[in-house]
Amino acid sequence: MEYIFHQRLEELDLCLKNEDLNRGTIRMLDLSYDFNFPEELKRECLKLREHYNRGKNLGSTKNNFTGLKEKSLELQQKLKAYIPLYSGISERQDEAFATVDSIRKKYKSRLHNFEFQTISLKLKPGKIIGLVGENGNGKTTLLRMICGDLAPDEGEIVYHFDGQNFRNWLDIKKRIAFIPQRIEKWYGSAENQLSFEAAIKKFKAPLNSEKVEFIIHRLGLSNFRELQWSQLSSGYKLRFEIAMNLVWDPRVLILDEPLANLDLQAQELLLQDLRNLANSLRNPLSIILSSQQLHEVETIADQIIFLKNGRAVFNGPLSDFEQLDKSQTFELNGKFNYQDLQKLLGDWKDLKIEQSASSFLIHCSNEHKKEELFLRLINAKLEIEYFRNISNSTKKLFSDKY
Amino acid sequence: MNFILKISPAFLKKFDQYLRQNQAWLWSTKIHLNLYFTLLLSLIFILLGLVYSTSPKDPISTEDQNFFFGILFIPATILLGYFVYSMSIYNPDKKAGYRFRYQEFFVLIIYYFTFSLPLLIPYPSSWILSHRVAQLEEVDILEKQAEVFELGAYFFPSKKSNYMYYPNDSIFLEKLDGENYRKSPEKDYYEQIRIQNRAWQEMRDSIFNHKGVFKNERPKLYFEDYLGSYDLHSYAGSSFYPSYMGGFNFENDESFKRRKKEIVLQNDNKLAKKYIEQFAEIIKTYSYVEEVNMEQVFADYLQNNYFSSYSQRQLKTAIAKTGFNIYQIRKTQLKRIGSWNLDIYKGLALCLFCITLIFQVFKNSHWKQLLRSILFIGLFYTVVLVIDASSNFNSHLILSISLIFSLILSILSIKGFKLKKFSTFYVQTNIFLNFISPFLPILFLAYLDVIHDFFYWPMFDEYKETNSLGDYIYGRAHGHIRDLYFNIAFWLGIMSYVFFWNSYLKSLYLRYWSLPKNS
Repeated sequence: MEYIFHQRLEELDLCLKNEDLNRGTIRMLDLSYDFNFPEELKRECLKLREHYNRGKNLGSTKNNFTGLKEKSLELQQKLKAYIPLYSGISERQDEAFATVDSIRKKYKSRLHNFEFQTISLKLKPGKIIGLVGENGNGKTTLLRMICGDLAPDEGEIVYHFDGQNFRNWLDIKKRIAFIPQRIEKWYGSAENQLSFEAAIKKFKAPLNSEKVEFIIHRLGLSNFRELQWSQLSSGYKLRFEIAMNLVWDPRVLILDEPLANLDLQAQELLLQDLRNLANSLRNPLSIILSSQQLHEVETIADQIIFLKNGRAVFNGPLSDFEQLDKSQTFELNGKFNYQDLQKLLGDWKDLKIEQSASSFLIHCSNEHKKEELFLRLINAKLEIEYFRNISNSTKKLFSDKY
Repeated sequence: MNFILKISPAFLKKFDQYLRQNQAWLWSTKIHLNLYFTLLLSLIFILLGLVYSTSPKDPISTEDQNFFFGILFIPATILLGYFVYSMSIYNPDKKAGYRFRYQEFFVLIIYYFTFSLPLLIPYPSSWILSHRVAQLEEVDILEKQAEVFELGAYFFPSKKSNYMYYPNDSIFLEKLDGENYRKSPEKDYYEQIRIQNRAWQEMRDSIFNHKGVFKNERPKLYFEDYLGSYDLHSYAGSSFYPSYMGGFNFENDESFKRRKKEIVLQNDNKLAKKYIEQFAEIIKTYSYVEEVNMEQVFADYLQNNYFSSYSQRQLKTAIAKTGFNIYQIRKTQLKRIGSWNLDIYKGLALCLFCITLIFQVFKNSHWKQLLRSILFIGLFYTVVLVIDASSNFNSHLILSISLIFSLILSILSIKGFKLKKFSTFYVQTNIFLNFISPFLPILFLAYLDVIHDFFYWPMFDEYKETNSLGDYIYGRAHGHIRDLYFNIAFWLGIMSYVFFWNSYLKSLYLRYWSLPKNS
């Protein structure tokens, strides 16, 4: 535990050295709550985070964060000087919160038949599962089955919390949070709603205020706390929805397409937040999320499930995928066309070129490397505007080849 | 809810925050805000009831009192709508919130009060207003004034209908007594009377208006014979209340009848002066007339001057107003809330309970399920009712089916605890039981009564008695015991719902809400 504490301090050092005040203030807040620092220090961390959020609201120029860096460094010293007690923090349990055992679901209707084929997985504390695949391939079906909204035709899901199995959905739903694509409207101010959500899950005052303050500052929502549903953008609605589901410390967090309504910066921020929250020492979360943003999800997920026509074509850690398929796939775009590429790479082994609206996908044997491709393109004076090596990414499963 | 909180005082905001953080289930019912604003609005309305101008010259009529109630009812209903909306948007149960044991019991009570409180807002204010009108004059004094008004009207000929022409005193007395009318068995006799009355009415009109046959003559006119009271009765006639309530029951007052005869027959000037004086006083009390020329009124009386020579013609409106005001005060005295029929309250309470039941189902299930159940139950009972009526089952079918259905569905509902998947059928079962369970005992008693003649079983023979014809039949006590049994069954149903069914059905609703669906 001491090792983790020092690791976190080092991370904090790095953030502040790089003047990444956003991450720095977030990690300070995480540190103070994870290691149960005295109330005074927690409050200072909250204030610092509030300072950052206030400054960010005025604009993104450095002037708005006047004094923030100095204060951060000052607080960092205080945090360093404090020796945490590590009480209430247990070693990470690897026992899964949920074991999904061979579940299967079939939809039958006059117009459309769909079969979600057997899948098994485990939702473990501190782990993130990324669920990817094209639309209509069963992502939401799987998530709904896991959260108890949809009954599987076969197989079972066993939830396991605090050393015992749970089979009663009423008890299970007190411990898992599901954020659907279409968020249900809430009423009153966002802060009041957060407080209500925490209270119904047994977080009464003064803990209630503490939880609300933490989550508001943690997710950078302090400038919007007084706003109502109709006054928020869809991105902030989602962020508040996440806050409302995190404020009561669920064990499992299920998110259906959470990145869909977020801008690029917000996507990265959210994913990073999810990663950090999953790694929480006091309340390690198990997260499963579906998304079309494959690269972003792959960067934070411990396990990827790729669904195609209701079948998990890949289910495991990304490293397993690298072992599974050694062929090379490059995604690129530039001032050239299909014929140019075909002419240029015609002699490559197992070559297959696919063209989409925005880019080309080049599949080839692992004998060929990206350097060789670059060389040929440069020699042929073909200008490259975009390039990505997706050989080790499940993104290549989107291709017609698979 | 923000709007309501914005206009709330600081202490209420603090209390709201306290409840939200500590008792979220209670906060979500908004009962604290409801109670505060109900109280506030009631106080404002009470103040309005206290300051509203009312006097004997201008008391608020019962119609206006009802209008006042109606006006206050509008903001109260808006408030109710607002709180019902607020109550319906927060649902901790659907968010798998933690609950304490028997929480549903307290929630039910709160729902009930929420529905009843804003509806009660206009009552205190309306009651105060009625009370103030009723207190404008003491009951005894008002009765005496009404009597003087009725008798003194003879000397103030503002209304032709108060008089009648009779050839002589003995005929007047005969009509006043009315014996001949009742005794006569012959049909023609009534026709003759009608013809005669028409002739006398024409004479009366001539004398009263100083026109026609009696243009230059002044015979005496008598009090109209068929009624005990005149002006007050005419107001009461159009009212919901029976005439004796508005008209002080003079018809059955022998002393009143005697004095009326005296006024007409004795031609006592002293008596006339006395009544004119007292009548003038009443007019001054109940209308805006400040002075009455009593000598002129007396002179007109002596000369049998009616309409055309009547010098105080402007009194006509004042007299009408006096009668109206006396009647309104009297009516308000009788109407006051304490004298209202308790059944109105019972009916209102039951109605509110049924609304609470519907709202409870709305909160416990999806609104589509509620609509589906209303449609299903409605259709089902329509079909059963049609069959029952068309086949002359005399309610046997509807009662039997209701009971059998309830019994089967109650047993089936136990299986709900073992369900693994959501089932619309079981939710519908729950909703049906939710609606019918409070009325099961009374339905069962009705079934026993209608189909098995329960109240005529030997155990009820002790309530039989011999009547005047010597028949041994069920007496009044039997009726009372029947009412008692139905009352007990009714309350047993309500109590069984409050203390058993509500909790039982709630645990099933919670389970159904959490179960995974098929699609």
